[in-house]
Amino acid sequence: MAQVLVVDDSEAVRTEVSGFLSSNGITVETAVDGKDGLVKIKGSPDTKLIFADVNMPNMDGLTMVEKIRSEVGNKNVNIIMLTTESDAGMKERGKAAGIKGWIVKPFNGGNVLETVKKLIA
Amino acid sequence: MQLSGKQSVQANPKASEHEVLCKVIVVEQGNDNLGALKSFFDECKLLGYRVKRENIPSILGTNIDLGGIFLPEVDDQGNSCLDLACAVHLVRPDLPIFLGVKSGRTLEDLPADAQKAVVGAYLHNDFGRMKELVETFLFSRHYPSEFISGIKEITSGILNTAFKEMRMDAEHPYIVKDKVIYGELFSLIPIETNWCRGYMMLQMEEDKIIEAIEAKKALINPPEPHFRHVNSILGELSNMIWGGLKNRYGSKDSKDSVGKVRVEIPIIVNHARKYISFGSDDPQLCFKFTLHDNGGKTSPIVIYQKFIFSLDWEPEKYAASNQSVNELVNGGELELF
Repeated sequence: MAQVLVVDDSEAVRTEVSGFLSSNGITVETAVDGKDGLVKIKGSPDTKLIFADVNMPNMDGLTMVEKIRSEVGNKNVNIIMLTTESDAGMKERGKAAGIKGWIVKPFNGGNVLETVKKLIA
Repeated sequence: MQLSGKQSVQANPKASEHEVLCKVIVVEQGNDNLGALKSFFDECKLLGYRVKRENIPSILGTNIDLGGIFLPEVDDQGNSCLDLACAVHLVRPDLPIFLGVKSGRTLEDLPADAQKAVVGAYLHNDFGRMKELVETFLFSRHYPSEFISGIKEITSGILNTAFKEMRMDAEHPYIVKDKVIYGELFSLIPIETNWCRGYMMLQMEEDKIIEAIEAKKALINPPEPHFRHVNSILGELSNMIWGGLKNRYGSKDSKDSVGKVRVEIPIIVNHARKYISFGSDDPQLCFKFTLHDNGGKTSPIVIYQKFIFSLDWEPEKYAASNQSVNELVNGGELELF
């Protein structure tokens, strides 16, 4: 079971984030959109942390988060949105669904490593 | 043939960093009024390149970011340039041709095909008329300087993050009438705010990005870089730049669009001719960034960023919304809830 699930339609972001986490000894799985993320989290309910983009084809990241909490019933997994969006309304929607944090891209691994380690401990 | 600084009539040193310029070709007409021409170009924010008429085809073959051409009806040797005007119009119909005519002559005096090829005529040294033509056909749009500086700042920041240990040069922003595509690949992303609507296009060359990936200077470091990695980098760059602009200038307010006809125009791409049309003859706003390897090992990466506001352009609304322009969002920072 991977500790972290990275959900992003951009291969560049999936490669960048998972590469950084792996190089720090963290196991990572990836998903290409919200729909895929939902399937992956159903199959790995003990995943500790999800990094999710907002704007993705098929299913957006916020809808995926809401479904993880409601349909899948997973209330434990920590979720951080990693997106170009910084709209207050979107953040509120994320907070209501119980996300842990919000990062406006670009991803800077050094800034989040300590927090990631705490969240997957 | 690339246009070099040596050929430039005026490098326009007086233009401020965020002023929008325009590159034009001027067919040599002797040096008698070069000083006046330089002053005119300065005043009109033009970057003029003096070229010999025989060099026009090669220049058009290698330069894709031009605004227009100043052509005399008759050159220094007494040869008519009307055939040249028609030939240029045939291969680059998007480039406006301004024709310098002799005293007493007007457009109506020209043959029909030449009349179709040129957009306007001016008398030698009639800078008032030349300015009128430039304002009508080149600087028909005013771009708010804060918007220009914002685009440059956001794009530079993202390119600096995406490409490591590379020094970046950013040229003056300029407008382009050409519809020619640079490089092998480009991305298009819709741009939509309360006052403008259109597309942002990023153009680059695949092999230069592959080189950067191989040298571990790009956003990702796959073991065997191939074109899909380049596509992915281009896509993410476009996404982050548009995200930055949206965060700063806001996206379309849906309340504002109630009852408004939402215009859509087909985009035409002709791969064989490296041509793209957004259905409008309005000038495109262009930024050119060049990334140089600090170690000098990899080739420079040239990135053309173009904005085509073909669907809506109401800069007067920008002033009203300018008060609510957001501060630049700090990318990469984790906001914990």
